[in-house]
Amino acid sequence: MARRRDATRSDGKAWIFLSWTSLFLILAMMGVLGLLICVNSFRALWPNRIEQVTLADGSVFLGFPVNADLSPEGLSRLQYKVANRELNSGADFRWVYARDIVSAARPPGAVLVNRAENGDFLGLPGPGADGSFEKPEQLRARLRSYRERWNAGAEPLRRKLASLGEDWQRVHLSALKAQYAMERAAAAPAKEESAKRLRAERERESAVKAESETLMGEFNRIKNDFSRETAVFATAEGETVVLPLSSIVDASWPNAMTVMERAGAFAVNVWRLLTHYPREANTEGGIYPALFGTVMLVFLMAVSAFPLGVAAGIYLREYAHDGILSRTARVAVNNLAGVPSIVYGIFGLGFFIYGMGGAIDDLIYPERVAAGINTYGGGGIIWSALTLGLLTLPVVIVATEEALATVPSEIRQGSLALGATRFQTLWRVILPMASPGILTGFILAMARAAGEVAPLMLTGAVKSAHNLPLDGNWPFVHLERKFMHLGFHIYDMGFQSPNVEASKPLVYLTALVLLILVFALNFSAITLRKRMRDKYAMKGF
Amino acid sequence: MHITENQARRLKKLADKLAEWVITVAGVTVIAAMFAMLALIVREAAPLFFPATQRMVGAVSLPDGVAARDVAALGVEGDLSEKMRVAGVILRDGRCGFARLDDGEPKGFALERLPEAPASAAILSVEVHDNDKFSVLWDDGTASLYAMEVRFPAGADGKPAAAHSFYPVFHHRPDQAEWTNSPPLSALLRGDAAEHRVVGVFADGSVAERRLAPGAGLLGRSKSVASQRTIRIGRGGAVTAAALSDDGMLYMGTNEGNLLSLDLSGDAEGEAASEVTPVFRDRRAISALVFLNGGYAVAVGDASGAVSVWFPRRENGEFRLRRSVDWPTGGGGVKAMAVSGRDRGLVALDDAGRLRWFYSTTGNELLEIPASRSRPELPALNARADNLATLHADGAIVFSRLDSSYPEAGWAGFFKRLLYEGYETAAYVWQSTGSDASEPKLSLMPLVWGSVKAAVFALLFATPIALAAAMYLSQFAAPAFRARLKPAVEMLAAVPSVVIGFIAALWLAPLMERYLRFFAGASQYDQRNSLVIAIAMGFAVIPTVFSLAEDAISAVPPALSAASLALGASKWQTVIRVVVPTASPGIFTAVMLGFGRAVGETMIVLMAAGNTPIISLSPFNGMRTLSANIAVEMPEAPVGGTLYRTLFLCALILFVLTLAINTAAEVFRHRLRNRYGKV
Repeated sequence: MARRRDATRSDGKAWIFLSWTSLFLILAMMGVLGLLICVNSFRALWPNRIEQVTLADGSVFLGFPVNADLSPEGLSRLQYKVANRELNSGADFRWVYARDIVSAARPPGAVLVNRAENGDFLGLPGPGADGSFEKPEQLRARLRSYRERWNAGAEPLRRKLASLGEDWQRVHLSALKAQYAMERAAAAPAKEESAKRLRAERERESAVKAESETLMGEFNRIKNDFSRETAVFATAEGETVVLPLSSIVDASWPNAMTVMERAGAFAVNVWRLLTHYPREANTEGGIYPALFGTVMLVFLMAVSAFPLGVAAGIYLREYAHDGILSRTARVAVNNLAGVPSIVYGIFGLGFFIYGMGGAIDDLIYPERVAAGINTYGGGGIIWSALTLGLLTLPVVIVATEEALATVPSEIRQGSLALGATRFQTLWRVILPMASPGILTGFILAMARAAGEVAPLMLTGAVKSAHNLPLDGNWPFVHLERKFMHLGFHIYDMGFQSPNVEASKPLVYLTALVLLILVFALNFSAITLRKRMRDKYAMKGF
Repeated sequence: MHITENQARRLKKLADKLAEWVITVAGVTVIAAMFAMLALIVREAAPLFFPATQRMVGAVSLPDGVAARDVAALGVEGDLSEKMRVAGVILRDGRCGFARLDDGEPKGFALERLPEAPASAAILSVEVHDNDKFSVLWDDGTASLYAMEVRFPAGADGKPAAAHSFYPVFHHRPDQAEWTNSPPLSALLRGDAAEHRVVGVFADGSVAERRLAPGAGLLGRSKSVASQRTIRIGRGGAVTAAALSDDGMLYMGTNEGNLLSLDLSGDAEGEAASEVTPVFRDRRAISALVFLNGGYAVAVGDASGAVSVWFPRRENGEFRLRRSVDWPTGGGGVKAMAVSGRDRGLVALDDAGRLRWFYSTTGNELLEIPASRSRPELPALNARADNLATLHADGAIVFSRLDSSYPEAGWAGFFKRLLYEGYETAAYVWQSTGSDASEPKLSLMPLVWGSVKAAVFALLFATPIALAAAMYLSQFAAPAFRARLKPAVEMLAAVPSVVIGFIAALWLAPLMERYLRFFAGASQYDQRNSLVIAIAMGFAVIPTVFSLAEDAISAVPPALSAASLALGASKWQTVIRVVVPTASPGIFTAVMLGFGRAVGETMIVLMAAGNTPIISLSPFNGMRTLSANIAVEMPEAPVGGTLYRTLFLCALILFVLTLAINTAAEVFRHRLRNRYGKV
């Protein structure tokens, strides 16, 4: 009897099942994570139906149902996004008890207005001056024509103004420089010279200022004209609300949409998310600058760090003699891979920003240092890129080493035997063969870098930077500028935002975009690696 | 252009050499990078541990006919460029003057009568507070508050000049003759825009307080007496020293070793709470009393030459005066003390002429300032506590430069349990931010604890799951299944930690709170707590542990398991008795590396751990880790300040910790591999 029990136990079926559940648990957790992000992102982009809710006390409101749970007293309650922030004393959301709801209807005329300020507006058609109600297609046409006229009449002016602002900034800085030179000049002629330059710069400065003031006046006049056009809506309670067309980003009537129209609106929302700037403290609008910042950061990192990584990998595999130097290098690479990313961040801050950046500022822009303005001595995309480059260096080095190791030594010897130099062998024979592996390392390093946030918090990522590090203003690439980043955007919106609840949908969307970016990079790396393996397997050296 | 074969060969050789050179440089750069990183972090953190220093800068002699004993009070100030130093002197006969040291060169000084001084009156006593305010008691009963103002405007030639004066803030002449007949021990004057206050302390323990309404005059001189009261404690012996804080707490020391406290902060008409605390059991006399910066703790100098710091601490619901630190006797009674206006430092001078510099928070004696020339008689500090002036018996005023940029740091400040002002017991506390008046609390223990706690909780969650899954996938799963699932789980490593952190904090934490709050019972439940961290960071660590462990288990030679199976063991027995033990070095390394990853992880703990720096074992409390601390505090840390360097120290600890873990894992793996490799 006892022996039999022992035998069943040694079979370990239960234990094997338990270890299977562990694996299942990991996959389930991954699934929950992915599902959570996807569902919430979808809900944020898919045009939902607007409900008109009547409560027992007779009050009526419009809103999207977003959440449902049990209150601490055990009553079922619903959370609605009611928008209309300025009418609801700043709150976007409202909890109501299910038992208080008398009826919930979906009026086909209910409109969702995406506004430039104060978040969304939810309403019903309102009576115009003559008491008539504007039809959706009429308003849509009016909005379209408004936008066309704005783009033709006001937009160029706005752009001009923005670029004048940049001009002023530049002239102001060169005036500062001239003044500094004048104050520091020892000899009289040099002083005279720089005083002359200062006068010229000051003149240019005031000229730019005057021009921008004239333009500003004109722009304000035009804007004023435009702001006279309005659309009339009503709240659920029947109160008339007049919105200037200039404040309307978009208006839609989700309750009247067909599935196809919904899909179309969904696509438009995706497009807006990826191409628009954020509005209202990042709680509305798109994530274009963050996406752009992330991509540019990764690109800069790749350009600045990968060549060094490949060269170091080649050194370790092809050139280094097995001495103290190469062994130290290997230890260094292994240890660098294990150093926490925040330590890289603090190194970037101390070495790149305060060290190198400060030195550059002292050397090139002493006048700005004297005036307390940082150029390179503050956080910037170049410093973040270099910090990340250092962080991903071990990935590149190890990948390079491994890729070189897959190249059979017969090939090396063959090439050398035919009279090629070491470098020729490397450049013409080994590197081309190892390139897919090295490329895989690049992509993995980029994926790692794209998801890394901690070092960026110390070296230049900011919550809001409307000037991209790459734009149409001289010198086009502004490496010293602070930048926005998808990962930092998630942290900032979810934890530093004044209105976390309102920014939640955008947090999920940003997380989804970041995940897609990272996974796309990873998948391409895996595919590349697989293809490379197949290729070598066929060659069969 | 035609290139000969020879030239081509030379060109090729040159390219070859150049390439070798470039590649070697790259390799060396990588080594340099690691050492540069370590060097930079050490360089930034090291000054925290540098000892305090003192350097004598120069001396100025008192004018002819003035002896050291004629000096009633001393004040000092220096400019930031360290070029100029000025000491203000008040003499007992009512004259004042400034001793100046320009670039080490003494400038003689002229004496004049204090402005608005009562005619032909001499000074009985002077009390110094806030480094540059002097409460003067004249022998005709008048009390005056003077402020020493020293500025260093840029002179005409671009070099800094000095402008200095004593200006009267207000005077008070009591109507009654009592102050002239039996003058108080000292008069303590405080004045701000709203109210002026005069507190006369008498040797018999009675205290006369007058509050005056500031007038509208030029300097807001006091006009009329708004209220007055006299309080007599009359116990505990004869008063020998007194100190008054800005918010009206009066402490008096007596010749019988008692500390009398009187709370004058409340309503001017009401009763003032008084208390007599016997601070020295041997009833030695208290000889000097001064409030430390912040106005909460009081430093007591006694007749035996010891200095101790006292402040009210809550005990059984009552505030009682308790000693926090005690510096042993220096020989001779404590004669005078000067306090820093920037931190919790003080300089004490005893009768034997020893000048010692203490720091209250850590209880450290920073430095004993070496004797120079003759015996020092009177010390003075400026508010920044970088300039010290001492008056010596031979009539010289000696200027010294003090440097203790980081007195609150050091071994004790970071790692010792300390009794902070206002705390009931000694504790490990991290509380870096606050004004100059608040005491910085820089214990790193809560942060180290947080890092280790977070990592341990994460591993407790991740290790069983990851190892079981690795074992299943490697040994029991179908090969096709395995080929697909391993990269899938490894893909998890690519999920940015910021995404995991945000899901943990905004979705998982509220969810867990709803179901787990019940289990916390009466104890504190933080929404962002260790259990959330265990799951979230465990989730992030799983791929590391899983992947390495799976590799290790799969690498066990099939011959071993084949032999085991052939001998009749079941598959399960084979795996658990043969395969896993053989793979154990690799498994152990996997867990170690997972620990290293968890210790350094920043975003997840930053978002989901609540960031409260507490030491608690409870799984329902949050924590603050070293890494999150850097991310939270760095943006507010002034470059080169104590906090800035302390954060570099945090980074150094992280660096060394992860280095040690990774190296240990590597070494361990090699050892065990050698042992099991023979199997």
